[in-house]
Amino acid sequence: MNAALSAPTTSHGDFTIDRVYDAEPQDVWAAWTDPAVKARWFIGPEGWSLVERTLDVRVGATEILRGRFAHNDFETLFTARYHLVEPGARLVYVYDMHLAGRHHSVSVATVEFIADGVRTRLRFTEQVTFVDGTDGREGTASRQRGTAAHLDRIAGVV
Amino acid sequence: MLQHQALDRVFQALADPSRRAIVDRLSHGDASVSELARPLAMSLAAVVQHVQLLEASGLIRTEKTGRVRTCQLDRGVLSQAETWLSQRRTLWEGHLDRLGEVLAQQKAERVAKAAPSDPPKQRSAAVRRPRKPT
Repeated sequence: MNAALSAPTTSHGDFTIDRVYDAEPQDVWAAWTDPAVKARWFIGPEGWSLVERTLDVRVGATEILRGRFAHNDFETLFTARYHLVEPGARLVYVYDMHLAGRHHSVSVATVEFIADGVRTRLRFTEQVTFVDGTDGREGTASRQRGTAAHLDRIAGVV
Repeated sequence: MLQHQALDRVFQALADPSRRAIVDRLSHGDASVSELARPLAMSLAAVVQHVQLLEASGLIRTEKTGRVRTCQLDRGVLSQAETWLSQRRTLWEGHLDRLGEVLAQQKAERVAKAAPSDPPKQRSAAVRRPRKPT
């Protein structure tokens, strides 16, 4: 891996996803902060297997999710650090994504838990900086395919 | 800055596994509609519809020569950055859907555990009472 061969480029973006769950905020909160519950939904897609998982939701504490796709030995690594922890209300964490050993992105993720009657509105906002400027053609073999080709597989990397 | 309307169309176009398969195929080179249809378990007419939707999203271009319509990926429509961002969003939509399934399962487990003689507190209207034993 020689970073000097390809000039890194940087790009930014953000998005927000809203979901309403038929559950109380304390249950939705538990799903994000209890390691056993988070492990039920924060997983990779088919073909991905878990290598390492830790979760400690306290300010300054960290979360790790490392996995691998068996068919091409492609490793995914999610590392997060919690910056704001307001039980039942808000979470803000910063996370890095490494794909196949390359630093792919740095993000600020904000999760808001909003009571909506007996339901809970969850608002997930991510502000992301992609730091790896390779465009896929010069990346690792598993990233050489075209637009959206890996949507199914990469769309589960954390 | 991303153009959100255009991006919405792209998300919609890529939301379907058959259309992703078509885009995947075209990322290896141009292909006719019938070539695209061959590995897919659907009628040619259905494939034509998918191709039309992909073309409307701007993801692909098509050109008709004689009786053959050739499809080509338009690599310009999605910059790499937009591709990454759309992947990231799709990824989180998947996570949050799965979270919803887990919450629904937890609720069902609680209802199943509640004994018939022990009606759920509050929200009784929202919880289906277990059948009384005969």
